[in-house]
Amino acid sequence: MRSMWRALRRSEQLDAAMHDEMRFHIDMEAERLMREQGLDSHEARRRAHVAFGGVEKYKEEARETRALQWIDAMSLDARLGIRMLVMHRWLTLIGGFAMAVAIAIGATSFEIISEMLNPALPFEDGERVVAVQYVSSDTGTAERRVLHDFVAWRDELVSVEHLGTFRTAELNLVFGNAIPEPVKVAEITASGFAVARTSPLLGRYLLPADERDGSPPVVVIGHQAWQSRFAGDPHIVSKAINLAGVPYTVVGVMPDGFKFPVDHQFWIPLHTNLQDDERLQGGPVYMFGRLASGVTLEDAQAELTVLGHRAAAAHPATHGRLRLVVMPYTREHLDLTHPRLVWALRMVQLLIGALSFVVAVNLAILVYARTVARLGEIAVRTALGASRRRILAQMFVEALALSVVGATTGLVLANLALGRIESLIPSNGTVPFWLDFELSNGTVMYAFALAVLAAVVMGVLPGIKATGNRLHVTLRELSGRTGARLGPIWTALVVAQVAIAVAVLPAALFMAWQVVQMELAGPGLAADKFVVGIVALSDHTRPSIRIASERDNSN
Amino acid sequence: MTESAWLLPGTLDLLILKAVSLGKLHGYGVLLRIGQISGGALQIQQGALYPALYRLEQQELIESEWGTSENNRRAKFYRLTPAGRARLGEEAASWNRLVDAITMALRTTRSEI
Repeated sequence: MRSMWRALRRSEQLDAAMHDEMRFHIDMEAERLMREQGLDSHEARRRAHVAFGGVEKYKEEARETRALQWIDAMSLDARLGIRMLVMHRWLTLIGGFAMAVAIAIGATSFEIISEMLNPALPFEDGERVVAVQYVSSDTGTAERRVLHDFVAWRDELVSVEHLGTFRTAELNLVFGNAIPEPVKVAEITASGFAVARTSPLLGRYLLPADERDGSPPVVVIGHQAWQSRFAGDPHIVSKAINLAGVPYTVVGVMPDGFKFPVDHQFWIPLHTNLQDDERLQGGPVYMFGRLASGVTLEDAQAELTVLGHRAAAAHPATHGRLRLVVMPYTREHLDLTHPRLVWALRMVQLLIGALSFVVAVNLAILVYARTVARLGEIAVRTALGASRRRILAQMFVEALALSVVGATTGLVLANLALGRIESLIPSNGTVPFWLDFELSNGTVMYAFALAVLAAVVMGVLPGIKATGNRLHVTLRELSGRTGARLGPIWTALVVAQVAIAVAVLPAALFMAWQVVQMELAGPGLAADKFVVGIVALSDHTRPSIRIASERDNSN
Repeated sequence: MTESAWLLPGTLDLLILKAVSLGKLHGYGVLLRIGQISGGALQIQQGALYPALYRLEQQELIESEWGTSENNRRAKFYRLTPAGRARLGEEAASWNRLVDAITMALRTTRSEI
């Protein structure tokens, strides 16, 4: 950056020196003509200029020999571009607004879809955390009653280390004078904390010893729960809380943001007992682990395939139609297990990004109208020696000025939209913790890539047409009418856009009217004659029945 | 009177190096020197000197400094660098080989082939 800035400053000095040098040359030539041919000063200077040739043309050629000359050219083009934005205020406002909306939509959807497709958890080497599941060969759906299998071969796997499992239970929490209420609890193997590689804030996390039958009931709590339900009590460790009528000793508090495996704030050990669960019996569990060092997903899949075949051979009645599959952890919990789904999401991302291209084409037509008005200027510049590349570069930078303004505004809008979406996400544990809807660097770069593409469409394409082989015609037309017309491609684009707008408009109006009608019609019943009551647990209630949820954790 | 000819492409640099090798000169002086050493036989578009001078300076074959001209005006003077002197030698030798080869080709008669 410093050398670029120095080149910019230096180029101004070089330009001044070049001007002095060429003026000196012309002065010397004029003096020679006055001396040798007796011409008057006016005539001598005129002939000196003619003998020298186009001063601006040679200055331009001289600038091109300089290092970092492109910076100098770009800075000039940027200044001209900003001047054009100010001169054509309405085009700037309309075009900037349109680009901003298109890029806001593109950036928001890009961020959301990227988050959904991102295979990495926000842990150290998070992309190596995987989910393991049995899949039915007949239906393609996951078979989750696999606790027996997990216990049987958890220590056999080599390619996946810290293999663990969890299930979610909804248990009634009773603590102190707080109103008892159900909370979502992860019954999880201690390896879950080894997979996450996150140290506790207070105390410890679960250990393998906690999983053994007969070990005292312990619980680890999350930071959010610690703050909201236990007032951030610094002495919470070793206190007892009541979950489903059973006293659990708090052994640790996890740091802020830790919600593994999905969106949990309470973790208790998962007790496994082979005699209790026959094969494919019991409630659903989710298996996870971490790829061993140096092992790829393909290697792990190969080992699991062998394991699956062995299980099928040994227990054909239950496992004959099941196969073992390993995948990035995030994909399982967002139901993105099928490659076609991933591909479909990528296509949606691409199509929404193409929206900004459509807007750019519209703006290109408006910009082309402005370019037509400047044909004379372009023709004169070309005659003075400006190369076609130079003129196109200027038009590109002018268009880039507009699209960058649009992109910046669009990113601000996208940030607001993402914040609004995140605030609408319910905090009752139904959205995975790794989804973070904040503008990432990737999304910002994507937005500016769209801006550059839009600038190419808006600036370069009309410029190519304007600086084509019609220079001599344009010069003649300077004194008369201009004959620039839209070519067949531009005409087709205009017609297609009008056709789409006409076709889509009635459907859009109909849908909007349906929504308005629903809002105006009301609930369709005498809402003021109904009341709603909530049944809450009193502090005298100690329910002994444990409520286990069999809902899919991703709902 | 000597007939004048436009420079062949690529030869301006060589002539500038030669002119500057004979002594420190400003841009206008380079023009006059080229006219002098060619006997007025070469026509140069005067402004075209300057992109060539800046290019040679960029390549460090010549170097410049501001000074005072013979008529007491501020001017930029150019002189040859050691690299420029070496390049002049190479280009001159290459040019002479070319001229000899073309001259020999043009002198060939029917009986010699």
